[in-house]
Amino acid sequence: MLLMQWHALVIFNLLAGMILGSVLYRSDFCMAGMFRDAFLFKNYALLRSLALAVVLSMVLFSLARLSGLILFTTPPFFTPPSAATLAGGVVFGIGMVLAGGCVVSTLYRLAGGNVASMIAFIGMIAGSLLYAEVHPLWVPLKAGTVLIGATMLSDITPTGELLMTVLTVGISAILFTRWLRQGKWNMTAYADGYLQPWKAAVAIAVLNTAAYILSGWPMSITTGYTKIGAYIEQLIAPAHAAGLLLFNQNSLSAVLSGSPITGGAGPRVDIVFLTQIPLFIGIVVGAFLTAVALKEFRIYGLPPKRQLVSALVGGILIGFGARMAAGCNLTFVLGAVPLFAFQGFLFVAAMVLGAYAGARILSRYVIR
Amino acid sequence: MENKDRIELNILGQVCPACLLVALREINTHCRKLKQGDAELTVRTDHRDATRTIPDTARAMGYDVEVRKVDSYYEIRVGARK
Repeated sequence: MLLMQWHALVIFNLLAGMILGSVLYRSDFCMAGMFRDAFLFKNYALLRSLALAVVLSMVLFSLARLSGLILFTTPPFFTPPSAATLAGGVVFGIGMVLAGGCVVSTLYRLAGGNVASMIAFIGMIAGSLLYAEVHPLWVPLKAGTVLIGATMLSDITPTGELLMTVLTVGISAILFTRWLRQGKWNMTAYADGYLQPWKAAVAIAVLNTAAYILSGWPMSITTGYTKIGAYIEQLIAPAHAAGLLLFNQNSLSAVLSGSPITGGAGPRVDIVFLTQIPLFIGIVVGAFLTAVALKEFRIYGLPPKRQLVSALVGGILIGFGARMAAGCNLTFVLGAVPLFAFQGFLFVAAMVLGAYAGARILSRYVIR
Repeated sequence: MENKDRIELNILGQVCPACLLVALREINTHCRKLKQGDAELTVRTDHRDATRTIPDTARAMGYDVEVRKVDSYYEIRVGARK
């Protein structure tokens, strides 16, 4: 990572977060909504932009790796895929549809004053704290169900990875050009300051590549959520929090020019704190400022009771599922898939299944 | 315009898929009056993506749609095609 000084890391992540928050708010780039609408309305319009973000990240990550700008070709928090990745993905997928947003879209919405998103966020923190209670039971399950003894496709076959990258980018380029000719990239929306989702996709890919180069690995955020929860738990029940395995472990450890860098969910200042907390704050601040500038910030009060319950339960499932799988849609969809890390593909498949189930639950029990 | 029924739907602050689902249900309930121009549906929403999904869907169903910003939210009007 190029930014070795902690204040440079913090400033970079804060700025990247602010740009991201503003861009996502303006285009309403919500991954949960994309999958839900595909199942609920057979509307795939925004999934195209997500595909663009993934493929463009693939191109930019590859270029950065080939030019020697990347320090960790395997981001240190990726592990071999296991049944835990699958189970976590399903739980996460159900959660994000019920909550009406994923770990990132919930942030830009709450920054715009949406109460349901605030409740979903509280659910996410609660869900990750709940997971901390069962983490000791989950660890052996995870270790015992490893599906492939490798983290990345390049661990098994570097040529295969190169081939897959070229193939994926090639096929996507043909598809993307066809969509361009059919005029499928531009959306008609009437919101003030609307940003075309494909532009948001480009911004995401560029920012995530910058993060990979400057800050060490692609963006991730949910360990930071658990950390926020851990600080709260430490205030309320310090003795209990001090004894939790999840808070005493590192989810990330690497060696950088001879010195170790570590980070985890525990209530302490480490690499996770210095990268994910500023990113989190940046997204909220960026989205809030954008909402104010567009004169849209306003708290409308509580949605119907069923939706409130749905947001809270969905949030808890998101928080719990993200820790089961040790990552969220941001890490896996936009980080692991472009890098051909096995966890990414498994998580996405499971998340899509979960989103399908979530869409069924939603239309049957929540919106009536 | 003057002696039309005005159907109002306020979904400010609702969780997101609610917007399109509830709007669709409302359109379908009043579909005859709306199609004949005897009624006009006004949806109030703060959800930015709904300013894409509701007009898109309603237009595909053969209605005329107008969107304007009021205060800090959006007002989507759905009525008969002229």
